[in-house]
Amino acid sequence: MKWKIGGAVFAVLVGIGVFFLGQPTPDELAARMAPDLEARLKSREVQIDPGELLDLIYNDNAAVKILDVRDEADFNLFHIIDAERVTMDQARDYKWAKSLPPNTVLVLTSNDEKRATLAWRLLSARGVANLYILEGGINYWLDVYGQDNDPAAKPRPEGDDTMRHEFSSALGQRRPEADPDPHEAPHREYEKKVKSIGPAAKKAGGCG
Amino acid sequence: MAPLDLNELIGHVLKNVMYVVTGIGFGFALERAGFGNSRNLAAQFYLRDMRVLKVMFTAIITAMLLIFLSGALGLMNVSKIFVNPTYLWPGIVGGIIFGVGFVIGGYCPGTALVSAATLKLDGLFFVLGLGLGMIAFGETIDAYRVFWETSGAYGEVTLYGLFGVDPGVVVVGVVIMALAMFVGAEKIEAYFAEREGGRAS
Repeated sequence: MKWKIGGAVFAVLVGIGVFFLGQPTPDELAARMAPDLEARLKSREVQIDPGELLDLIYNDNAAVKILDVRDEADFNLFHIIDAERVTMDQARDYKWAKSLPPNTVLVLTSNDEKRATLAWRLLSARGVANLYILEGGINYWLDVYGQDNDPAAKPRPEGDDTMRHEFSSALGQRRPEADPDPHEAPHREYEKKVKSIGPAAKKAGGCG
Repeated sequence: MAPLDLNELIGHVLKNVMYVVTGIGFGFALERAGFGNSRNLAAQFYLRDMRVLKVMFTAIITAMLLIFLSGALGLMNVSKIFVNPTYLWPGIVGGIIFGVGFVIGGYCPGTALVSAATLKLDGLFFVLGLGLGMIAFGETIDAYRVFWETSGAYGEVTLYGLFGVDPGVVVVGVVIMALAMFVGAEKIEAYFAEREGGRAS
């Protein structure tokens, strides 16, 4: 009987301790995780090549969601197929972060990388997994897959996140470079960075 | 900071070895607690033996206290722990099927495996039925996929999110509730033991 009472008292005391200590806020969590997050950003293990993103989009066994953190005007001018525009307020919102689909590769895009990197820090601190950044952002995507593609172009991680490409009209994802044909698009050698997250629901095809 | 990425920390193979060892340890603990015997489990529904309730709630409050204490001390990012999304109506239907199966068969899936591991015939048959049920479900899900995957979808629901309070309030509340249930369970056990003892004499 004594150990039962002891166990009960211990459980109550730990519970009261948890109550008084409180849980860290998202900002406190972000601060605690900062060294680890910065190390991952610095090693560039989460910045994926446009070629890897294109392969993911066309991989029927992988679920991918593109989160575009640019402002509405840039998004309307051009965005990658099926991208969803996300505001920084959403990225700060814990509930929204938890609503993101599990077992899905999430790729953040901005014009270069700054805004996407900021969103990556916020969402990572809110526990979002399988989260990546499009290397060089939309500018580099257009350098690679745009109509005036430049094979010698390099990503600009330190770019000021402004759109470097010009468009005569806001066609969003109706531009051909929003959904390049993987068989026609320039072939790219890249270091695979997206980790396998297990089987995802097939998007199409297959028998049975 | 936990939760740790075991793939990175110890590699894919060792991670799976760890899962197997943990599973065996879990099964062993269940067996030693008497959960490999359907009579002990079914007695819960007749209020004669409340060990299922006591063990389950002890596990719940132990895990809850460890998780939120680790979170409060900065050892774990609690928001990284996967919480099953709520699908209310499929959950109710599944719960009823599960409960009926539990009362009739005397096992839940985990305890059936424990029983089968000790070669008890009822456990082996229960596992066979479990397998057939899984095949039947997999083969027929297209007929009710919309219901199963969309009805009553509330996303990730937690008690502290639902009530809009600090997780610490819920932690203390659940501990007190569990302790009250333990006291109540023991009183019920004592009542039935006394009544059946009197009947036997």
